[in-house]
Amino acid sequence: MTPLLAALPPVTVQHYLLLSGLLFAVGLVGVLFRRNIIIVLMCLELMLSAANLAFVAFSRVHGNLQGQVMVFFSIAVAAAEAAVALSIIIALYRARGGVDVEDAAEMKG
Amino acid sequence: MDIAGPFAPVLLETLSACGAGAVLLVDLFTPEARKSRVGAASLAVTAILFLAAWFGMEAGGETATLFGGSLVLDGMAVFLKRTFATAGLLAVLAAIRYEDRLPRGRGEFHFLLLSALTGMFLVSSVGDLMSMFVSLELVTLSFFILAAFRRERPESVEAGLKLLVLGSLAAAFVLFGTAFLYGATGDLTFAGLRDHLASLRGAPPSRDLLLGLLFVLLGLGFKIGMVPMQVWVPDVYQGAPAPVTAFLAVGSKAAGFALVLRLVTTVAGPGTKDSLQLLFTALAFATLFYGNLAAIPQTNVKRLLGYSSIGHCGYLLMGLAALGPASYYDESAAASGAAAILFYLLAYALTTFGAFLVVILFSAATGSDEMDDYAGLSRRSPLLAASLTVALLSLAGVPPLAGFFGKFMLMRSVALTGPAGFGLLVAGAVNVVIGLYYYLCLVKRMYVHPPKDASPLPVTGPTAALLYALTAALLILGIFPGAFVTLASDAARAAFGVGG
Amino acid sequence: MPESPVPPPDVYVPLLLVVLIAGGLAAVLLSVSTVVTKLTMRRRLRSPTRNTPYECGLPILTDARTRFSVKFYIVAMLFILFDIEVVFLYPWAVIYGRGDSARGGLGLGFLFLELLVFLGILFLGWLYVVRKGVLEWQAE
Repeated sequence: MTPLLAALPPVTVQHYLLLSGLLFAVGLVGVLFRRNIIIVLMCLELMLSAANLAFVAFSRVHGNLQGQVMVFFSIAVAAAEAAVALSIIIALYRARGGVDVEDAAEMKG
Repeated sequence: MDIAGPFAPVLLETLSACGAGAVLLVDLFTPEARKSRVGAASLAVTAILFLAAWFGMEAGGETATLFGGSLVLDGMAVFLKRTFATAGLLAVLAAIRYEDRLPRGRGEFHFLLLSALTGMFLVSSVGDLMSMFVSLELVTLSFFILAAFRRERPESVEAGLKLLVLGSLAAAFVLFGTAFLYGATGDLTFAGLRDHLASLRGAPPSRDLLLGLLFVLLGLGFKIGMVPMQVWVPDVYQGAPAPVTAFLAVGSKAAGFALVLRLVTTVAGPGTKDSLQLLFTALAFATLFYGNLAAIPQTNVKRLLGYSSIGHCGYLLMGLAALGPASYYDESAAASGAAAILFYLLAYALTTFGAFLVVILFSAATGSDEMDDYAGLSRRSPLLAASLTVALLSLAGVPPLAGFFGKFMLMRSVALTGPAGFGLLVAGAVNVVIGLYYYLCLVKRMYVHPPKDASPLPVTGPTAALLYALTAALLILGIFPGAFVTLASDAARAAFGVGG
Repeated sequence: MPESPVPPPDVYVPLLLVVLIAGGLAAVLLSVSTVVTKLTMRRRLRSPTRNTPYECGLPILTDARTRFSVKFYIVAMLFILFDIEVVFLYPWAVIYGRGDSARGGLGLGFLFLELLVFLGILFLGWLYVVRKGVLEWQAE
């Protein structure tokens, strides 16, 4: 083993899961606190990608392909979701003239 | 009668997907002047689905699986599919009465109703986490578009957007939780999850599994409108087109509960039932009180029904809380909770459409959903007022209507769990009274207050027939619930593995 | 949790080298360029023309960040949808090519039928797009 890297701990599934959890948390914070809906949408996609990463990592651990197949489906669903979301955002822009969260906060009570 | 052989698990899904495609083709090749054909085609499809679900499927048959366990057909699936088929038929009937107000896209409207229905059929027989995610998303994505369908109305777009953001958030939670369930068991099927738990022999499940389960339940909580994931419900109910709201109320809630039931029947066992019961009891408490108390000051009928639907989610959660504490644990109590949920969902579907049909007809005639405008409805249209009253009383749980028997079954299942369920029983009873109060406020407006505008609201023949039929169905389900209760109980007992 | 069968870290050494070389090259070039400029230039050469992105002699016509027609985005979205759906053909092809009828015992004929169903749904979507006139690019 190369002496330079021998000192580093090996990359295990825990590292992937940690990254996945961090991405999910970043996405969640973005969804909750960002005002621009396009950015909210990107954060939602980030959360889905975090889950995909976890799937692929677990798939490697278990040595079966089910997790990777699941990622195919979730990517397809995410694409459909993004298409619908962008259409609705365009409709919002036409109805209210903006794409901020405040532009979609008329109903209360 | 079983008309599909080994493909029974996908019979309704195939029919409704083909039907949706056919409706889209009819729409594409029909000139603008004859668009009413589209509604007729859609109605034909849902009528076939309704007949196939109630008369073309074996309820008590063997559990059938297809595609390597991805789809299963058991008693619970059949019962849920019948509920969904009924809701789909009513949704299309309501949509036909609404579609004159759509400036464009009748074909798409019906297509999306049918694709959501296809998703609901799939949801009721999912056998693994992959089909769970995909079918749930089929329902949700269809509803995103449907809620925002009247894009010339800002409220409708706002409803669509709120459903979109929170629905996608829920999907992300479900997917993330699914990843961890897969990580804990190495298998995506519910059967694999059950085997994994059985192999633990009472040892506590791994951290990954609990984390995954929590995330999936949180995600599904959005779909059913459970506190604390209920924030979208009132806004979406108010802003979405009324037929969509009705279908969403029934479809999203029943689809969510179908999946929660699947998951809970899979994971409920000696090691988990205590924590599950505690969790669902707490959630039922919070959801019941939030929904019913927040409904009291409402002035918009759709919004009122939105808050009341959160309350109904609370009642349904009581059925899950009947999983029972360890000392009193009784599979038959758990099974009776699940049976009560199944029956309640069917009753809730009929009742909700009964109420929303009147809301659709009223707002078509007057352009308003405000409760104040319902004043004196009994003098303007006795039939509308009477139908809405019956539906509201059924929602409140007044005997002898369907909603009463549903609540009775839920309370009974909680009572079976012994002293631990006592607090929840009291909470349920208190909430029935609160519910009765705000429903009766609306009834009082219709019957006691003088109308602002006394012009009569005529109801045409077919519509009147539909209102009579729904009212009759509520009475029949309340007075002669026996056959349906038997179906629901058999399904639930099979799901919990309790001998007949 | 079982330990993952991860490769030993030294397989990542080439990757590390690439990163180091790329970063080092950029750093060296930029610093040399800065130093040489400082040493040779007597006065600061700053003018609007000099700051334009392309110094090819032609005046710039408009800002690069203009608004595109929504139509452009619709086509882009349609592309993504159809593009991603096609991914599912790869696992199908692998299973079909293996002649694998073991799972569920449904047979090659059934597998082919499934492909036709899948393509049928995509075709319906394409038909919808065409009939709605999304692909017509004539200005209205």
